[in-house]
Amino acid sequence: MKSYESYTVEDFLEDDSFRKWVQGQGTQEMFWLSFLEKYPDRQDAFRQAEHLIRAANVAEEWLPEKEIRAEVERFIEKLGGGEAHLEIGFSDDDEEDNGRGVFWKRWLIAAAAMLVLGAGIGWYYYYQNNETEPGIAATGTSPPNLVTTQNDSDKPLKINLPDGSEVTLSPQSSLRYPSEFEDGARIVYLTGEALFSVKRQGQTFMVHTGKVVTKVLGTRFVVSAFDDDRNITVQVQTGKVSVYVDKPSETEIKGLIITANQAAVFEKSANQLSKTVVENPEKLPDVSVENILKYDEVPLPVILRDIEKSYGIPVQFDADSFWTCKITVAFSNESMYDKLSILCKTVSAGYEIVDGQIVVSGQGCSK
Amino acid sequence: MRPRITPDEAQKLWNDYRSGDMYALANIMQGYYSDLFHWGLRLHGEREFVKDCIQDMFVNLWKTQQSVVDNAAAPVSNVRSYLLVALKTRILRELSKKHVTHQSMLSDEYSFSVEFSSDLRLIDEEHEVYQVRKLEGVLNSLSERQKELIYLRFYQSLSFEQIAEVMNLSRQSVYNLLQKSLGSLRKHYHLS
Repeated sequence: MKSYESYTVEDFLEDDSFRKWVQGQGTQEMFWLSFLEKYPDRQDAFRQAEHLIRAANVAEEWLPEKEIRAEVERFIEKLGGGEAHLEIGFSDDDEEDNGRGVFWKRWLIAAAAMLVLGAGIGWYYYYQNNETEPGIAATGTSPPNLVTTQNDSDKPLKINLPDGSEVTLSPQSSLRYPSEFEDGARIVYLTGEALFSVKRQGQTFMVHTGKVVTKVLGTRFVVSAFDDDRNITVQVQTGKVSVYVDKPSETEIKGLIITANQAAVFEKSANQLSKTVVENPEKLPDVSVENILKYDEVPLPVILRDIEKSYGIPVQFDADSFWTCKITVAFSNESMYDKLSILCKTVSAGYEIVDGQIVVSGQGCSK
Repeated sequence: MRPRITPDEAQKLWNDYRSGDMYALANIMQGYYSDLFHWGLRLHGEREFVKDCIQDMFVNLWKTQQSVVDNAAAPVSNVRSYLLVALKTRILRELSKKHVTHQSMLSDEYSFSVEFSSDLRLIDEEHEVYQVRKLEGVLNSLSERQKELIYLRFYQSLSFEQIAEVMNLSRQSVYNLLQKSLGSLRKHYHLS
């Protein structure tokens, strides 16, 4: 393993972790964000490699999922496979009550998980004095001329920031921001809750909320950090943000990237950052999953992949055991959780939310 | 980019396929289909032709499953690059059948077409956008083999080892090719 001090453009290009980070699929966000702090003379090689990877992007070919599915079906038929049909039926048996029960239980768990986000104990103090902040946050120390907007009304308050970004500040919340953003990062400080629509621009946009820093990669998102909340949450509506714990003393800085319909929760008492799914996932606007409404004898994994695509939330399951589960179903405007419950009920499976992903488990269907 | 199956998942499915599980192979096909399709179109731009080649390749994989099982000496270290090689071989063979002239299979003469178009979504600075756009132009003017290398590294996420396998080159040649590409890129980089 070559040491980072002597990394060349080639080394960066060969480094999978670096490539993934640039392509937005990385898990080592913090490491690469702070890389140039540690190895400032690698700047040129770093930037060149980064630019090259961005320039080397290639658009996907348009290929509907339906076509892929048809090809795989064609393949299975050629090999003489493909049986085991399952129909969804809600009407006739005792199972229904059972299923309903399961459905509600799951729904309640989801709701409860979300309520936790809103409960809490007091916590917030001004933090960045006397401390050297890590990585990119360093540019934000000792901010001059901060304007404070406090929303004491009972209605959301719209604030226009000097860069054209919009903030909708919830009641009992306050936002501190410079009257004019300096060079470097755009940094604001939030107590309470706000929805941010960030304008794409030269400088990084960061929201400080106690111990949590949210760095925006161009997006709409909600940060919730009331004084007396137990948790700080960041929910993404569109785009992508990275969230990390702002605590320089710790050797391991924990950071997360969250995308649409995911949320980051920082548990203050445990000092822990984790990923989950928002309460009511919305279909992504720009994804064209066709036919997510009607399925005719379609293997369960295919439908689960469609759900994954249309909501942008990863779905984990054992494709092997579910492949023989053929499903016929017509969805209307059920929520994502309702859809999952219906599917799971049909094949006697269950689902749970783990680490911002949906995990479906069950025995599968006999061939 | 579409979510992809991880190498570990693929390896597990591949082992299941080798022990006779047809659905495992179907899962591999499903998981890699869009990447294989994308790759196939780079080699030949006819969609139906590429789809047929993918179909035939997987049917063939199933047919030879018995021999793959028996031949314990033929381990597949990376399912993705194995499939990319198999598809390339098949497409070039089918193409050489189509043409009257005798074209040797896997010669360096095959065409490879790709259009790089920068991903500017996460770039903040104006001058960086300019820089990346310039690089994009240079990338698109590289030779077909150089473009294939860049494509395999950054679209298909292969290691240089695997790229060597797919391009039928030695690892050293891959490096030389990369150096040459970087040479052209650097020249333009400093001009800006």
